[in-house]
Amino acid sequence: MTQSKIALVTGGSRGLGKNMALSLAKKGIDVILTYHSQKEAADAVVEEIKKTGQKAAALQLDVSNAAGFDGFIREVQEALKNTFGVDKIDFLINNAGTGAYAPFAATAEAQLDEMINIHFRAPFLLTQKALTIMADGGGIVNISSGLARFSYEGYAAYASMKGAIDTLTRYQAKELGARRIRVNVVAPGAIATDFGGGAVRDNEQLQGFLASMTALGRVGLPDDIGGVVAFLCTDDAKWVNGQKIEVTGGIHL
Amino acid sequence: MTQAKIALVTGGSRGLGKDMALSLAKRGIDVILTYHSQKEAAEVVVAEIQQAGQKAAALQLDASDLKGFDAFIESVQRALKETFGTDKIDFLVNNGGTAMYVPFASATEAQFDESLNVHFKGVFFLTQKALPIMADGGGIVNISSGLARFSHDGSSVYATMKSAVETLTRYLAKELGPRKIRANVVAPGAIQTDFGGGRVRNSPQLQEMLIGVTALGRVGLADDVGGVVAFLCSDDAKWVNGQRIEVAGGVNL
Repeated sequence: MTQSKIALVTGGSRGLGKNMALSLAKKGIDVILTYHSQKEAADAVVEEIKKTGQKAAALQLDVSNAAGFDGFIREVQEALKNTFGVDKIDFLINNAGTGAYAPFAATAEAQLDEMINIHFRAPFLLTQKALTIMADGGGIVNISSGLARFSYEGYAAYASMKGAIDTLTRYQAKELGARRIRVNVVAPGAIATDFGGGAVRDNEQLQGFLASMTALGRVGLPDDIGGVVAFLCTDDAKWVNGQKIEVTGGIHL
Repeated sequence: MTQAKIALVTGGSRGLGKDMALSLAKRGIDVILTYHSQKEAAEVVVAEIQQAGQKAAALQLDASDLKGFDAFIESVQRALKETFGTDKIDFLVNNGGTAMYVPFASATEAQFDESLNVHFKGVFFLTQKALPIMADGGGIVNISSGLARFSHDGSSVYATMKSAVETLTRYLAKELGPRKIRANVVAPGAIQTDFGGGRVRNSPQLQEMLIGVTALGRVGLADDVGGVVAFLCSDDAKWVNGQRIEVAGGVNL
């Protein structure tokens, strides 16, 4: 049997990240997923992946704490050795993140710093540190948001960081090309998950509005996203590099 | 056995269109492909698809001759009935097209109209006429070019038509949403095919220039693009709508 490729998915215990992890496994890719606080949920995803015949492991990671990244990379190396029998990952999916809702005029510095840390510094610095354990010819998938293109009140800080990720993606694609590492960014629209306290999932009025703005006439579900991330980690996407794919059913076209 | 989905690929006898047809078949999709003049080449592709276990048929089409579209749609309907035992296609891949290299200053009206007809009017009206034979929930993949984003000398006519197709794609996504028909556009970079008289394939100097500006450090091959088109015709892409995916290895990032 040939060695399966291995993807590291941050924030893989629930929501979109969970669906990405499962979608990758379905394509024959082994998965290391991280969780912030929900160890049991993460272990459940690991079990589900193992049932599909792929290897999996879950590691704790607080993406807002850059001081912990060196220790985290060492843990990944141990997991690679112990669980996967190799020393490199092939794909990195920078998915982890939390929502923050505040009008621009009232956004506190602490709120802004939190968004910077989670949505920009972490993908920047964690990816930098992960380069040493990434195989040449692999790939990085960053997760942005439809909100980086269109604007909803209250997302100035969050969406600005996602805009930064879009730009970083192109620079990474450019600079990592020499190692044949492809870098792309997936931008989901509004998805009914527990993201942002379940803002989309629990608000019927908001759902009705979003559905009316979406060509395909409904709100997104977690299962809508993972397949695109998985595609970007396959040979079918071998020439897709530096691209942004919005996965929103066609919102605000 | 469930009925396989059916894709209509224009210009499927060679180059990128051939690879799209074969990639779709590899995913379990039946294919009707069109050829302009190379009937024998088209039949070879049909045989190759049949060997892969899918149904296939080849039909003649001049994508620039709008007067012939009604008769062409009738020939598709006959093929659907006779070869595929159904009356609808699921996917339309508007790939057929020819190159046009001429400086803006010396482009003639005839050259402009030739490019307009094959790359824009043809795509617009063939898609319009295909709507009655398209199944709800299907998809349209238009083919653009990296040249719609960046500019190489001599491509002003060709590239502006491709830009029009990119805008049209968003309108198709918007207006066909109620039928759950997704519309996306794939923009290949420079590929070594016989497109434009083998312009890329036959010029080591042009290739060297292109390699220098491509993150992944090589020129595109026909096989680089079909997998992305096939992805867009799969369930993995069910929430991808109104999107442009450049498939160029990261050129001019």
